[in-house]
Amino acid sequence: MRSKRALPLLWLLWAAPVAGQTVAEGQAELRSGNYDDAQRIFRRVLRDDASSLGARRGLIEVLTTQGEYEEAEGLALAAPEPVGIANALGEVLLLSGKLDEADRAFRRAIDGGAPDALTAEANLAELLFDRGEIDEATRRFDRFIDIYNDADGRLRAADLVAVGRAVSFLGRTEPALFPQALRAFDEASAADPGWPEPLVRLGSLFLGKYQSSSAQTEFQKALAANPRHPGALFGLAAALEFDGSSQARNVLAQLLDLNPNHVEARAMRARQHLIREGHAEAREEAEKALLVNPNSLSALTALAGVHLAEGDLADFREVRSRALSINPHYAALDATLADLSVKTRRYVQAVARAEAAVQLDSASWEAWGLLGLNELRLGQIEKGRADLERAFAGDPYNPWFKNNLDLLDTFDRFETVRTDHFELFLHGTEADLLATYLVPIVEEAYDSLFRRYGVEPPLPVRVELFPSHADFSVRTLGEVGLGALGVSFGSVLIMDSPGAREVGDYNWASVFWHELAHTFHLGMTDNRVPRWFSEGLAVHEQRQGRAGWGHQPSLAFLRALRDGELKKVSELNDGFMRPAYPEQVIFSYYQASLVFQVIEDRHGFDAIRRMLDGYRRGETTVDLFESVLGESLDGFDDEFDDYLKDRFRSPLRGLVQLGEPLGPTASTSELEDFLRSNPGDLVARLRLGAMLVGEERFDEAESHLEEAVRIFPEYGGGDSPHWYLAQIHRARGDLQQAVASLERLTQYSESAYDAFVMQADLLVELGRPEAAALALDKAVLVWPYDTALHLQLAELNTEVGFFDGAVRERAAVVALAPTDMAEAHYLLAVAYRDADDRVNARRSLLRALDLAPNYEEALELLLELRARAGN
Amino acid sequence: MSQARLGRASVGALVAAMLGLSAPVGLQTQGLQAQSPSTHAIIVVGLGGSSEYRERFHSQAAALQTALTERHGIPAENVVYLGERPEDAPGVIADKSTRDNLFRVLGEVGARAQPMDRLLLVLIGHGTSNRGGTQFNLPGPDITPSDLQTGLIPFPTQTLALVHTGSASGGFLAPLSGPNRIIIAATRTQRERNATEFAQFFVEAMTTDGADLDHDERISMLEAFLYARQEVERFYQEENKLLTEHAMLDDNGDGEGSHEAGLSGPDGLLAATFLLGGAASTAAQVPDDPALARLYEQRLEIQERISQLQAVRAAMTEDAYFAAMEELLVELALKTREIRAIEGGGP
Repeated sequence: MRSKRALPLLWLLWAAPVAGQTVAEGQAELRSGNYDDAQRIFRRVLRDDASSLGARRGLIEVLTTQGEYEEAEGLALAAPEPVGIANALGEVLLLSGKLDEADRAFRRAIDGGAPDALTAEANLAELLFDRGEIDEATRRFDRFIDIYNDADGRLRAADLVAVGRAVSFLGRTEPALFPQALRAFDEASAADPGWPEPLVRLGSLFLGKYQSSSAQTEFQKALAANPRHPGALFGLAAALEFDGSSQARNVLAQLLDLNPNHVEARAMRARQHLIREGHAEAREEAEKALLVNPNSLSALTALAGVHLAEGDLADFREVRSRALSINPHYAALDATLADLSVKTRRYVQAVARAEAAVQLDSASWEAWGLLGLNELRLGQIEKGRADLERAFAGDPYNPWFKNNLDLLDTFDRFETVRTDHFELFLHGTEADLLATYLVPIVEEAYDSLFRRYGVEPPLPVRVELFPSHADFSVRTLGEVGLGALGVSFGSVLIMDSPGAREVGDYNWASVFWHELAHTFHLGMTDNRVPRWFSEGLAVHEQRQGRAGWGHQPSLAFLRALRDGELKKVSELNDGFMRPAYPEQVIFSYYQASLVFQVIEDRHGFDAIRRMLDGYRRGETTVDLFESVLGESLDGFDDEFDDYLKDRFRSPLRGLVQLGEPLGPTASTSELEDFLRSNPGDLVARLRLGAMLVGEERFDEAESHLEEAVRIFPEYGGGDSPHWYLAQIHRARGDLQQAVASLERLTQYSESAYDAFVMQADLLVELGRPEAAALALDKAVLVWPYDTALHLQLAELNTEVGFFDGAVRERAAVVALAPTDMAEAHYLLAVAYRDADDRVNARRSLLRALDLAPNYEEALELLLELRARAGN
Repeated sequence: MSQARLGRASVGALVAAMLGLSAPVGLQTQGLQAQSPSTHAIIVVGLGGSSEYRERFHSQAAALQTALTERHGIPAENVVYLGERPEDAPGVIADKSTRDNLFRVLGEVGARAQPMDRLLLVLIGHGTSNRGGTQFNLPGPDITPSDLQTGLIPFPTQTLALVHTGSASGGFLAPLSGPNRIIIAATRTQRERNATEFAQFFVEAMTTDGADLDHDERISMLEAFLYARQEVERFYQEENKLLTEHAMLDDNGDGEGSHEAGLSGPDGLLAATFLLGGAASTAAQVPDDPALARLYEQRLEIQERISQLQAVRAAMTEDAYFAAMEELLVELALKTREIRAIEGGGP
């Protein structure tokens, strides 16, 4: 072959002693990230010896690292020996989007037998793949297996990286090859330990197989040697982005500082903006990237995403066409937009985009997975399962696919209960129990929201409750660990069943109301409503459902308000999508709900409906504040800030830190001393009051707790003064006052289970069974699994003549499968009899007697029922 | 006969028979008295290992002993309690719970037991296991399943109920399984070695009304097992602890226990017939009044027809089953009223 005879000459040129030594120094600086020094060295060498390939290649690499693509290209074109520099030229041309020229350059390197011919081969194959010539690319990738096997361990590090790259691509249709790619990169790293490239490739491989932690380890190793390695920085940013870490932004900023023309970094930034619904910023980044490389598929994808998000379908189609003209099989555009659609809650759109992606490339496993997952989110269970199976067959490394398929395998243990507007998908072990309470609540919520919004969402709404929080996480995110309690995908709501949590963790009826509100909002706006708007409005709707429902002000919220750590209304979306600290999400829920309280108070609910209509038409929040509320969003920011500070003036004063706060082990006397100097300190009052109650020093405790109530009457947290005051009153035998304190507490806490139960007990003692039953009704909406509570509630309902309620409670007892099922069925039969439902009374009675034929009370009831029926 | 293979015509005929279209065979009161089996009970408390366990085991055993005699009507001379320290409760604990003493008591009971009598053997204490097998810890040499098998030789025809409430008790199930034997173990296998809670709830089943799931004022071994199993699970759930014991019952002689034993089998049917308390415990509870005795017989016959109907339930629709059941229950209710009217009591 011609190239082999040319090799020795090139090799000699490369290895020229004086220039090579200096080139080696340049390489060392380059590898350490001292780009300026490296540049200086390489330029000096080239001044002395224009034929130095090593210096020219090194300088080209430095220039491209820093985004100087034009100069790098010129330098490559000026090389006296084109073959040796052809691959480097091709790599530079690629960065500017000069695809045909890059293709020619790579082929020149290959055909000319350049020392980096294998790298050129890998580059060419990838270029062909990216231009949709999949078969030709695959053929070229395939060759690398023989190259590796025939080389018998004699490949250089750069060649091993080329092998790894090729085998990674082959893994697309042969997943078993990925470990081989790993091996090739490992060998490359061992062959040249000082070269970061294999580590970066390893990191990318790990990240491509969802192992973010391993990926970050490799990227960090590369950065340890060269903190400014562009590939490692980009890889690390991608891994952090994968983990949802806000640190990704900082790493990207570092990279763009090094190379403002890094197109992939700009494209990633554009996607980040799109996720937080910052369309203008996303457009800006995409356009900057396309200025550098007009053929960048990732930048075109980002720009297409902007148009799609803004509803500019003609522009979207045009940009998509541009991408497909470069690569007719470019499924990644639609797959990426499907993923972005999910992040912006546009699930129908996600399905459409994923379908388009698999049409372009049937081996786009990511697209099949997005299709399947989103079909599941839209309640298309069987189709979703089938598409997910296909995705998993192609990509068995994907944990989301596997977790969801495993979860789907458990669906045969669930039952479906249908109501007028809902399909309730409940686990068989608790379907009877939950359906008893869910059915009236879901229909009540639907009627209420329907009346308020005047529109009907797509029906039926499917509601899935999972008794395992891990399953809920998988169903919603595909992975374990989601902190939410419920998620709305529009016509499909997924929630933790109350049994997935501890007693008192949350009020499942209230959470359902919240999620159903989302269904209305998403439906009314074609999923265009911003996150903050829908979340705040959903909390506002919870408050319409029941007094005390929805998020309430906490001490932590007030501290954030005091310290200026809340988002402005105009930036509230970031409070959800890009929180500055974890608690900011929960604060944003409450804060956003107050926005709607203000809007409804000042402008009426109709204004809110008109804003929702506006979002549907594609208007922005800025527009809508002007057109509907008649004020600028900036102006509302200031007004709302004043509103918050005015509303919470008293507790804010109580949180002013005047002195050194006492530690957690402060004694009562220390707290008393502190309060003598700082009588307005809310936290000290609360702490001291609680401690004194613990010591049964009720009189002293009461004064502090009353003062705390005066400062912050809305406080319903776990250490609420209302709770302790209730205990004091009860201990003194002042049951009325105890009840009053508990009522105040439950105005500000939807899940105060112990308070509801205590309230019921006190009301029974006060001879108020009806009120006691109402308190227990509220307790059930927090924790429905306590048999004793249902028994008590059944008796109370019977006592006050609310026989339907007694039936409900006795049915709940049966559903909880107590040890004595015969008795449970019998008592249910009695309740049905009292409610004059003879048919069900008979049926329950027969069930009791089937278990216990000699049950004398039940036998007597049977005779009674038959006598009543004239038998 | 398998319930699933019963055809509709057969079911119909059987149901018709159950509804009284064929007259029941009358039973003589004297005959009934003569056929009443006696129940013998042996309670064995093993090594406690600590004072806490020693006291707990003794308390459980003593409560069980009292319930068997006072609540369930077993004559005191038929209930033997072998304990770790007889000196701690003279008059209550008959002797030390050594292996030899257990064998001796088994021999004595076996010698006087009638062929149709029943033996209830309850082991309260710790079990251990290793590669060699499992054992119940006693003062002195422990007792293994094969030891117990030997000790039960004097009971070739009697119905035996062995209740091993300790850790690693599952290892006793297969070796001791056999015809006319009800084996209840607190653990699924011998590898569940943590101390168990089963004894507490088994004793509770015997000493309270909560386990009378069919409200017939008697406790069967099945009811006691179901109650104890359920309460054990509830206990662990409420204490937020991992469930480390899974009770098993075997009574069909196949050596494989069931955690979900019940009337639908494969395990539970024999255990359901091993009843304590009510008319089945001793002959003293059969009424002397011939008219009343006849009513009891008639009620028993109705109860048997109900049992027969329940046996064919799987072959019937729910509506048909309940319709047939209702008729029988009305009969039973009226008969019970008659009985109560004579006895002067009522529900």
